[in-house]
Amino acid sequence: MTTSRETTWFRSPEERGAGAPRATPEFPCPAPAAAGVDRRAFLRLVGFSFAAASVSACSRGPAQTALTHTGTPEDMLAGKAYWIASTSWADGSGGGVLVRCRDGRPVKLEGNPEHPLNRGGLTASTQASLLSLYDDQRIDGPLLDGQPVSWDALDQAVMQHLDAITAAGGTVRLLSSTLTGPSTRAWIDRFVAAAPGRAQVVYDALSCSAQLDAYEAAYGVRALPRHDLAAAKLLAVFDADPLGTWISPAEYARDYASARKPDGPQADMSRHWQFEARMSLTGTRADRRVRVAPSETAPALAQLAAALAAHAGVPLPGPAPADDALRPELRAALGELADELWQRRRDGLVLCGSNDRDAQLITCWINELLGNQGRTWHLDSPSHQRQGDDRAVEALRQELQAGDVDLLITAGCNPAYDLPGMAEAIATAGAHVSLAGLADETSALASMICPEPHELERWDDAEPRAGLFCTSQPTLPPLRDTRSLRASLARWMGDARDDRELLKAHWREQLDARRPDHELPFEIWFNQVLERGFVQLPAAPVQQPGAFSDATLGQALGAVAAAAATDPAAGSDELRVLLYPKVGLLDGRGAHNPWLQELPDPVTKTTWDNHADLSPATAQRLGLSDGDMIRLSCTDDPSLPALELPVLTQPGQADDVVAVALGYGRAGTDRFTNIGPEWIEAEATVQPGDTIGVNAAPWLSFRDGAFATDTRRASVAATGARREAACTQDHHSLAVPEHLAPKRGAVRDAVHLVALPDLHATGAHGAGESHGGDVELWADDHKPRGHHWGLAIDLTACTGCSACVIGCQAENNVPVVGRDEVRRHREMSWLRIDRYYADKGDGDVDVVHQPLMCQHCGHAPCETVCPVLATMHSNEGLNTQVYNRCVGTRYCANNCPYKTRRFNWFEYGKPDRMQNMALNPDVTIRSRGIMEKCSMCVQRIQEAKADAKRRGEPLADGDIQTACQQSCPSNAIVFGDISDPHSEVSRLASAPRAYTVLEELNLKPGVRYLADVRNTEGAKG
Amino acid sequence: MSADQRPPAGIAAATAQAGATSAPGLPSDLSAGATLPRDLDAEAQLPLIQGVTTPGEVTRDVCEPIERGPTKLWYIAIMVSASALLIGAACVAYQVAVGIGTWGLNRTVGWAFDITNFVFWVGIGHAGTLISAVLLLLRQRWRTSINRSAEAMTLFAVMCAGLFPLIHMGRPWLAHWVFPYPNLRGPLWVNFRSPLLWDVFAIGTYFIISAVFWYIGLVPDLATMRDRASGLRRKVIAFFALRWNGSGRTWARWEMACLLLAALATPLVVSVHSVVSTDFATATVPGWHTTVFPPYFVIGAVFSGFAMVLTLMLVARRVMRLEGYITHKHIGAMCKVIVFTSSIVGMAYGIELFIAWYSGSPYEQFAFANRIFGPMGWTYGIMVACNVLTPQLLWFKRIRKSIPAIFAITLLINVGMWFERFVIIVSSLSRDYLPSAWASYTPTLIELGTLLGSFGLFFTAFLIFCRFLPMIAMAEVRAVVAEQQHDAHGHAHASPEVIVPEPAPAERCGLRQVGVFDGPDGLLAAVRDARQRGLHIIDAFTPHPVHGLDDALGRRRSRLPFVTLVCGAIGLSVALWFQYWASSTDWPIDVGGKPFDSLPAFVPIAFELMVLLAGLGTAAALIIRSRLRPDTGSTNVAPPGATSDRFVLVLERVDASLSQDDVGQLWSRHGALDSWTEHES
Repeated sequence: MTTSRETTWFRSPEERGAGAPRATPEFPCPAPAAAGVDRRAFLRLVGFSFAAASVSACSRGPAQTALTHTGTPEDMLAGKAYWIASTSWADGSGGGVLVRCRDGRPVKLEGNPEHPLNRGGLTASTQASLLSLYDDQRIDGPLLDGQPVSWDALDQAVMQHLDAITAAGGTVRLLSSTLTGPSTRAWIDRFVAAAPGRAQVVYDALSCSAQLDAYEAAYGVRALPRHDLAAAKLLAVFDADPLGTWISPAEYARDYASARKPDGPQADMSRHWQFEARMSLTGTRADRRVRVAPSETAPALAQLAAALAAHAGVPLPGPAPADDALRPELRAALGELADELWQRRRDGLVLCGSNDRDAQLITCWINELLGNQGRTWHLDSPSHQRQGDDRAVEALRQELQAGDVDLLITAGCNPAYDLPGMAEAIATAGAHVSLAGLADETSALASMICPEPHELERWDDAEPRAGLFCTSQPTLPPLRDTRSLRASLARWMGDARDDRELLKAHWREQLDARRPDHELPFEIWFNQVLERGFVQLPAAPVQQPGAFSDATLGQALGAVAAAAATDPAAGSDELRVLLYPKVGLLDGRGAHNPWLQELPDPVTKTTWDNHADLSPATAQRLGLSDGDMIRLSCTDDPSLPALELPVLTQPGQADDVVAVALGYGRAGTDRFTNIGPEWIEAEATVQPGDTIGVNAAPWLSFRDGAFATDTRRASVAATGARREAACTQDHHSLAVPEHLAPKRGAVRDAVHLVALPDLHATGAHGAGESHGGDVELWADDHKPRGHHWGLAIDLTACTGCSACVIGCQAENNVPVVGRDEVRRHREMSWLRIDRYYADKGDGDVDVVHQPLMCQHCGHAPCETVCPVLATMHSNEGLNTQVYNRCVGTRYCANNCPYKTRRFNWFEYGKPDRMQNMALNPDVTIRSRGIMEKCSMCVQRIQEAKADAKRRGEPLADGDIQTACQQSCPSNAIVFGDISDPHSEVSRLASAPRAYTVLEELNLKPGVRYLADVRNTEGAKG
Repeated sequence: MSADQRPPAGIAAATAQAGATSAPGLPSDLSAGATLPRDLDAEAQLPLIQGVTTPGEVTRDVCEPIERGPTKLWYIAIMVSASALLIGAACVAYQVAVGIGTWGLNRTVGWAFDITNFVFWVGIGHAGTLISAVLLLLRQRWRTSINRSAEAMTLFAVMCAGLFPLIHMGRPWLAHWVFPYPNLRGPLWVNFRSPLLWDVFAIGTYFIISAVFWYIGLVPDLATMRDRASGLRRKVIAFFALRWNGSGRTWARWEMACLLLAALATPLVVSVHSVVSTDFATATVPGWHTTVFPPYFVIGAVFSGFAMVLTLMLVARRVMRLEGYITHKHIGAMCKVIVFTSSIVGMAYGIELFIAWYSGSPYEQFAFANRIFGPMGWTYGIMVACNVLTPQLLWFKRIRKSIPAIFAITLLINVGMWFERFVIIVSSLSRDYLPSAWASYTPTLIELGTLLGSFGLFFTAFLIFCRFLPMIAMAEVRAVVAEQQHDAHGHAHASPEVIVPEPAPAERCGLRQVGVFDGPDGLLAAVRDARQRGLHIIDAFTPHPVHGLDDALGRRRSRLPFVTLVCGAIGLSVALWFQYWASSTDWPIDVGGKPFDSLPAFVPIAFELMVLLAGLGTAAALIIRSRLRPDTGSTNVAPPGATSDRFVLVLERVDASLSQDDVGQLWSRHGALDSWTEHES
């Protein structure tokens, strides 16, 4: 019996205080006594052992050779999670991830907090890549002419080709995306060097080629500097989205947030200028945002350079833009920026995302002039995250078209989709080996397919930044018969070692010598690296950058001035087309991932489609409204396929620009036709044979050695059809519609936006007055016992990147519902990010983001109205939803002022899907007809509490992280015990900026928000 | 003895004298001399029941259409309504099989057609109770012609209403979880603070009490039908007629039971829609959170219910040729109720707007601005036009006299009241606090089909009712007819007699003297005469409750009210205790931070249970005490004609000084149609 415990369990303080405490054993039913097991207990035990045996027999064993991040393989127990450190390129940045595995399979990706690059943050794309591992359409094994063959047969075929080509002196091209892994690169080098006529071509679908070109021209080194947004006190961004999609978003977001701390009298919050044509995620966070047309970016930079040159008293090494080349407002803004940059020289950072060599050269010169090098951007530890060379790709295309390529090998890329004209060119290659793991546009053209394993299934290494070596281990035995590029190349060169041996050999031979601590044997060191996921080693000696070459800048300035002069006047019937990657889907690599397809775009809040984004003024001028289908016909290259897209008006976008997201129109996306529930009025997410959205990549133009996203021009014609966007937010402003607005309260008080000087001057941050009274109708006799869990969300730090949304989806098994259901406002996400516009006049808007999940109200309106007690308050302050009690009246959702409750309108689970392996076993799958909502990751709370109890230690602040908090790249979300005055969450909750949403309802939410502070001038008296 | 014998028809006299200003012969008459509001309208001068002068005619007019069998029109109507019902059933089956997603709801608008229809149907039901209970308490005689069908309408409307909360659940197969029964989940009781739970009890009680009230009222008419029927039909009807024989004692208890049930149903009708309104009024949603909702909903329900009753009556009186029973007087009275309640509803709309403005709450202000001028403003327009503006036409007598005009207006009111609920529910939900969560709503075909199905259910049930049961409360109408006749003949009231103690049973001689009269006056006179002469009255059997018979028979006042009181007290205290115990002792659960033992939250259910137990207890006491029980109908339990048009007095000669001739004289003196002597079996 359990009465040997000294603890007396009680149900309430009253009970404890009562004269005769009623001791309740910990286990209400007596445990089976050792002496006599009765019949029922015997049956229970037999049943349990049988079930346990079946369950453990069903689960896959962990990958035999993997080393966990925490603990040793002996710790692996059925039903107990373990972590494996890995590296992910799903968002193109090579961030460190920790893979949470249960019963031999990964179930969740989380940022590796120790990893120098992302430090625990993880983008939506990376987190969603887990689902791609379990994609049931992955290629099963090697294919030769479409027929499954053995690896030996395929290798023989490839080697025959290679031998024949070598013998005939033919050409072999290996086309890949940026591959930074030292072992892989070593094998590629070996492969290329093994015979003449072989070469590697690298490209990035989200290209930074012009930037690399610019640095090469300026310094003689083809390298991408490391941008340190944490050190930048003044950030000026031109046409780049570093917080959303550009190069290394998780890294940038964390740095950016760390530089923008508004609290305290000595707050040195950075200031952020954004110049861009469309509203990017980064633009939504800007203190000062200026709309510039794509054609104005380079002249604006030139203008800025001229102004700064004047400040510095140095001559501009080229022609300054003509006075009338820029709009007066833009000139004025650039003048202000120049003043600020000059004041903050050595602490500023100018970024340009345009794939235009001239603009990049000017940017580079500005940073050079301001002395930022070595402070906010670093060429000594360059980034390896983008190495693509668009010029080489274009050359390859021409080579292919000329029929000069005898064998093309494509690895880790999808050029037939990503690059204009490449599909036709690849079709002419003599032979084509594709290493695609999932059938794509490129593999469709290949005669030989050697599928690569998913990132989570393979041994791999990476060097995303010079000197930062990262590793990946398989987290489960390969689901398909696959082989890595490294192993394939080795095999074709006669080396039959397996992947792990190849990797280890490379590290032993090449990297072991560079480590400083030679005391440890290699094996142990290597295992330590694998466990940790990365190691910092002295960077390989690289070519030192030379002095900045003013001559090249002179040429660039000249080219910009010339282009500005020849640019056709605005106001013509044509629109400038701007192609951009969307958060989540990026270049389309995640197009087969339903989580990413259904992730609302952080700015437009649309899902499952790309749109023709127009500024409201342009849409009005063209007589178009949201949902009208238009046909964009390219006027500068009529041979391009027209794009038919629905209109979406986007406030804050430059006029006469149509912005179209890349990454859509991927072949095979009609697999999602029936992703949603099937019923009589359901509309298919996509028509069979069609694609989700349309592919805009053919509209990329090759300009000045790089693929430009913003040079095309298009004429617009309405087709007369309509296609409503599947948008998660109908109304876009905190202000209620003008004709319905009451005198007071025309603006809803949900998000507090305040200028930094105003915050420091008055401490006030709210838009409206506080109505919170201290009059209570009844005594508060439900004080949480032990803990009181709560969240604090810093809206100043939140970038709206939506990593938390996918984090929550993955952690809590939130189903995907498809386009039609989203259109019907039935998205299931427990955590949504509200995005509101505040009109500033002139077509400009301020944008605020507000992550909103269940607020875990102390006076929860949902709880009162549930007839069957399916939602109630836990004694730790959580608003809990008890699924199996719920009968589904939806009254709670109606009564929730935040509308954060989600109802299972249909049975969303599909038992026959392989993706179900990604389900978190700790979280119930909800059936049809019941309500669900954010649980503050109660399963994590329980696990941490159990762990602490097992360790015999009290639970420490920070032991528990919710999924949204864990993945947040900008540390905007903090979970903890509000009742503990020393916890981080308490500190934040009592900060002057803290407030609760809809405070006047006196709901006593457990989620506090910290006002969004912008470093702007403020009210000025 | 012949049923065709009638006293001289007195229509002309009735026309001159009958009125609603006094109600001497009403079954429910509580205290003589109570005055009712004087109706200055000329309609008041018309008799309530026209062209009918005898109880037998009532029986004939009501029963014959049922016995004749259905007409072609009925078949067409039932086919149409049954088709609608089938469509609805198919829609519900599909929705239950596939999911609530087949409705147009979303994360923001969690209720729309479902609860709109629910509140609409509950509202429709209210007129029935109001007419049968409230008007009974207020001694409005005009209710007798329509209360049966109005009550039936209540039952069917509550059935339709109850359907929606059931099928609107995500997991309707677990609907029984809303009842607090001992279970293996703890036992986990239910949340007594949830207005939805109050709904369960309120609607449940309402349905049960309405059904009981309706059935108790139906029993005498079933007896009439039983006595006209034969064969299997007789057996079936007799089963439900509970051996009703029209005995004076039973009538007295029956009247008391009706009165008590009416007294219980009246607060019930107020409470039910008040409780329904708390679904909204206690919520946080702007536009719902309004203290005016309970009276607003109740009066809206009365309003829509009367409109629906009138819609149906106008059709039924025409189709079933009941113009003599449902006269312009009835219609006029109902029109006045409608215009009165319409004005209150209009005032409620105004108060809502005023309070929204006066509250200073921007959310409230916006909710109402949005209701009127927002994207769904057209629904608000329909609501005001149909509910406030159109009924004002009824101020005009010409309109009140035009059946087509009234019919059109009542239809519009039904539409308008449906939209009122839709406006309250959907427009408030669709745009509440955070603009990010705003969403619109469009119904799906499944929802439209379900709404159609609910009408199908209602009309199918109503048509079946019309076809198989007396649409007119014959017993009560007979009483009204008799009273009209009584007034027309100008009989004076006999003053109450001194109660003479009954002779001891030992003196009885065992010979029963039976006299049959054609009207209550003769019967009453004979009873008084007989008692003065020391004759032992075994019982009197009448086709309707006869005013004064109880006194004349020397009966004690029924003790049913005591039963009602005890049962009600038990219901109230058990409900209060159980809610308190379950919520704060057995398994206290923190719900919205509220105290475990908050008494105000327990009031609605305690009230409903009090009414439920009191009502059931009263009905049970009536049935037990009067020895009513299901029967096969093989024997005649009532004297011939006593359930139709004959008033039968059964005496026993106990005084040896009285001869058989004396009894014969007694019969002939009071105009007995027939008389005989029978041996006690």
